[in-house]
Amino acid sequence: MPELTLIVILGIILLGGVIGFLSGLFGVGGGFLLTPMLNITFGIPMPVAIGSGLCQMIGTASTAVMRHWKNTAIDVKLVGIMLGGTLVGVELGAEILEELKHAGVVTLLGEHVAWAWLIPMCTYIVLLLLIGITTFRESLGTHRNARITGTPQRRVGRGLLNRWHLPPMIRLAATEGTPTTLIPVILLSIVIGAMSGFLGLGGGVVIVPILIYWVGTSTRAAVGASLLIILINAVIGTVAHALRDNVSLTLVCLLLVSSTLGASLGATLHHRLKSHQVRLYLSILLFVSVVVILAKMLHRFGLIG
Amino acid sequence: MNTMTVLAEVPLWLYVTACVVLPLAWGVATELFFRWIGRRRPRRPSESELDLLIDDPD
Repeated sequence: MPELTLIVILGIILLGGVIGFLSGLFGVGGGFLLTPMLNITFGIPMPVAIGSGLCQMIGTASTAVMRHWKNTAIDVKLVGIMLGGTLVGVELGAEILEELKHAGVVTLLGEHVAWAWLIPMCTYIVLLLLIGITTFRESLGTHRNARITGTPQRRVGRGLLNRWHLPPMIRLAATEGTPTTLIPVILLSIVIGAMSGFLGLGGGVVIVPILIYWVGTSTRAAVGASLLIILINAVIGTVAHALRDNVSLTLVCLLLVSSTLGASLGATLHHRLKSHQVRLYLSILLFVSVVVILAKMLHRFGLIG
Repeated sequence: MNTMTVLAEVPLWLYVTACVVLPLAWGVATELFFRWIGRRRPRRPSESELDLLIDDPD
């Protein structure tokens, strides 16, 4: 752990506020930004950054869940279905990462890098780019459509899985009762969980777009369900990391001071923005994340200072 | 606070419980505080919120 000077303390508090704000605004945990930022900016070891990040995520997610629960009913049935698959997936993803740890190192551009670092980083870039491009194109199209017709096109109940008629079918409040095929939802939640376990994400950055575009939920229902899943995942992840001494309570307290405040402000702003605007800003955030990760990789290979 | 020191001085179960309860209590307390502030200062919906109710179907 670095020495906690006044500058470091203020920097961590500021970072917590920004991450909390983004968490409340987009319904994402912010882990995909917080963990690398703690490591890059403050030199905090990755295991401690991951464990402490998950721990503070409990604070921001609980604030945001309460705020969303007050403003929009969270579809507990959908969360229950997805949570089962997600928890299985998390274990699967963690096991894949463990296998990569044993795979050793590879020499690339004259640098020895671990497979367990290279593969997750590349997966991160591809995944965030894919989600970012899809979300950006759709939200821009909806925005243009709204400008022409005066109202944005309804997306609720028009997801990919609403068009499949593979039994058993379920009716969810989040899709306003539109029948949704069940098995692909469970399989998707396993894949989402695997990506969380593999990449150390809360999962919101993947869950929100999948719920909107595939399951056919409204943006608000997707954000609410995502936050509840993140909260439960964060509790389980924190216990696992605390048992391995990967949680610094000092770091968590500093992050909590500002992140819960930021999360509350973000959730308030979320309800003042139009849904396609939230999706557009989320895609921009994803592109920024890709730039940060790419910069980190280029720095690792000595291609930038 | 050095976590190794904490682990040496308090039982592991207490440390793990603190790691879950502390952020959870902080998050709930913050939200309740904001609700209390909100109740003390009732406000009219903003233009964007009224606009949202009218033309944002999602």
